[in-house]
Amino acid sequence: MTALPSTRLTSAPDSRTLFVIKTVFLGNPVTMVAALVIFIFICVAILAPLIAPYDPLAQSYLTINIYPSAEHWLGTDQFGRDVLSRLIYGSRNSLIFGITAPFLAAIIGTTLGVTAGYFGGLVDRLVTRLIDLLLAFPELLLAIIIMAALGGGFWNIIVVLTIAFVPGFARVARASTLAVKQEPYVEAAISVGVRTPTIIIRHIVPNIAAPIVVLMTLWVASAIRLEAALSFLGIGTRPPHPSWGNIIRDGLNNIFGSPWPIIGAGLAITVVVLSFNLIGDAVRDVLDPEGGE
Amino acid sequence: MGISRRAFLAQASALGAVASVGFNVNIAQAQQSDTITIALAARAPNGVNPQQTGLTGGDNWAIHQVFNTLVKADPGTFATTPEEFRPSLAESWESSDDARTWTYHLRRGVEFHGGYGEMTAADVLFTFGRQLDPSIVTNGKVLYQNIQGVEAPDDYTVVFTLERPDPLFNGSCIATLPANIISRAAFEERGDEFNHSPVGTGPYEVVDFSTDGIVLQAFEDHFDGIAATPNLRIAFIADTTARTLAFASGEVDMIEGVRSPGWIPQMQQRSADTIFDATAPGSFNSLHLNLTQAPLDDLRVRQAIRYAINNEQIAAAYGELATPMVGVIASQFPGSVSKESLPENLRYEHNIERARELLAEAGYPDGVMISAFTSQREDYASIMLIVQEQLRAAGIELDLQIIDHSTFHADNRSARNAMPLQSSSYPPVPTQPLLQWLSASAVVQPDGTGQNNFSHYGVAIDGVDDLLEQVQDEPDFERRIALVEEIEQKVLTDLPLLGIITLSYVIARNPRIDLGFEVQSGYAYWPLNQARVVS
Repeated sequence: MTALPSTRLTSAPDSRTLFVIKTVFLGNPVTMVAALVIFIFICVAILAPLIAPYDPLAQSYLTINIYPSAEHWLGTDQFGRDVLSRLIYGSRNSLIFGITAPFLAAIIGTTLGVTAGYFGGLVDRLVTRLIDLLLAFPELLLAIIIMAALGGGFWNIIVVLTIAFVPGFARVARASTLAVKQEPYVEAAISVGVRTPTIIIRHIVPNIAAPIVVLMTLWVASAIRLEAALSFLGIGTRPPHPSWGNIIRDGLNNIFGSPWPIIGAGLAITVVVLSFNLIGDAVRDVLDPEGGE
Repeated sequence: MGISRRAFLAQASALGAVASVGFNVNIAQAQQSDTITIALAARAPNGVNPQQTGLTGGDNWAIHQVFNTLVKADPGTFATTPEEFRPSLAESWESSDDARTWTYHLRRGVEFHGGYGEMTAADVLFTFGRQLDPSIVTNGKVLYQNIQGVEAPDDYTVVFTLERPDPLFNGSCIATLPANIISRAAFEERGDEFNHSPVGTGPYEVVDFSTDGIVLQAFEDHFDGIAATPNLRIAFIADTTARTLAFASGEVDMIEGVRSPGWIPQMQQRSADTIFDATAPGSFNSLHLNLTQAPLDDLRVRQAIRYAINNEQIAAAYGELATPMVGVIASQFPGSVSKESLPENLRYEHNIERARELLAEAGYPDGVMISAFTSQREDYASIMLIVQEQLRAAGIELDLQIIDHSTFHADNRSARNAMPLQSSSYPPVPTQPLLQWLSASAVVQPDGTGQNNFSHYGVAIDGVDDLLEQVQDEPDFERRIALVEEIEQKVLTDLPLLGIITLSYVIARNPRIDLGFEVQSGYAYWPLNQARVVS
């Protein structure tokens, strides 16, 4: 990677934001391509109703399992639905869940982690036990367990993905808070009588933001993958609404009829997850140079 | 990042699978000609005892080759009228005028497998005795409730006495799978072991039973002559893709088909000479509407649903495998009604405008949402997805959850589903679906103790119970059918359940196998004793 500043972030990260963005996105052509891919997918998701050639739910029995043609660029599935339109609409689900869930998890997890790390004692013990409990399960298993209890549906998926990611954020936030708490400027703030909420918001949170942001970008990819996995298992996005996961699931039984839903959705997941991972790695390299392997 | 790598592998392998599909695998020629292999859609065999509960479709195939019933239908058919039954273990039979006493004269010199001696009336009494004994758990017990007693005046005569008349007793009881005659001596000697090493009179005997499948060998002393092919292997491949590939590579000769739109054309595209043996009507697919739940408790909403669902279109999606239904009973069977025979208001020709009007009248001018769930098995899932799309056109949004097959059945049994689609195979005995789906006594219960009346018909609103009593007391076949048609009209008026389509059970067969007969209808299994490799 490019030459990176080895100093730790101090209390004024805002001044560096522009630098970070510049380093992350312009520093490496691969990351630029990844950013471009994500930008394109976000545009596709937002403009889905305008660019999708067909209604993604409309079935047509005269045109089932058609191979790619001028009318249907990626063919049709076993219900005669246009595969490309379904992929385009599916990107909405994937991106909404992929971005919303890590964002919510970051807020909740950071609150929990900072509270535990700053106050210590009983609060710390309770929160860490809870985190340990949740971390004992792999994300996917945890998501399946909660999903089985709650059932499918948009908000339930958000809740499930958020719960699955909260412990990771909480753990990182707590560890960072413990470190930042020892810094002289925090001790100084305490000694001059600054109120606790102000200390947390003004001095702790900005200084632990870097690893949280790294985690968030990395977990967008995980969230997209997790949503696809849940939908593939039939407990995520409900049919007939398309999501990349349930497009693959639907396609699997019909693999001899038309492999295009599986190829299309599989590629879409791979490309988007890869792009988010590349960006996540780049962000980590810039913000947290010591944490790299 | 471990999970990430795993996910990548999963996606890569999915792509790999897709790539491999591209190869056009020709049907391999000339396997051994002394063995026929059939692969069914189940994970593993459970047993080859006709009285055992929890049998899979593959087990039924084995049972059908290993055992015999007293009478049978012609291979590949159902006997739809009393005259169409043929002798099997019984050479002849007669019924009393009130159709309540049935006497069977057994064939002499029928040998059991493994040197267990001649089949006599004692074995028949033993078989039915177990079905009639309430303390023994057996498969299909409910089918035999009408039998009051079984007696054997001599070694070769068996007399059944019924509680109520049954002109179709051969179809409703004698020719059913759990009524296959088992060897009393072998059963008493082997106990539970009988499930895996059964003794019957059929053309094949079991030589090996394992999780991989069931291996059968022709029984030399079979009363009807030795089977054409010496060895029969019944394999279990649950995954549809794996099963299809096994067939394409010639590894298996016959496979259970996939009942989703477009499957047959795909198979034909890959190898044009594949033969498809399909039963007609096959399974009855009916949509049960829970009369205790809003908005389905409103007749106008049910009528709107009926007008919105286009059975003809759904049937067309499945091609030759499906026929549209009108009422409860498949159109191929006696007791069914046709659109032409119905009054105008009960025909429910597909009409979206009318559906919207009815919804508005019911107080849902802006549409309505109904939550339901269905099984992930391909036939359930695909029918419901088509229904969902048709309802959407009329402003009815079906919030559909697609869940595991056994969970689906368990949840249906607990009365949790507002709109269960039920796929069931029935013989041409019209009282069977009516009693199981529409009688008040079969109503589903939240604690799971109820049966298959998922609509709560006869409990939530007045049903057809009086008419069902009359049907069951009617000894004459023709008059019985007339009463059944009356029930059909009442059901179409109240709409507790909607017949959707019948869907054939289909087996894809390598053209090098000759079955010896043509499959037309019948249960989801057929005899293989005349099957041979002809290459």
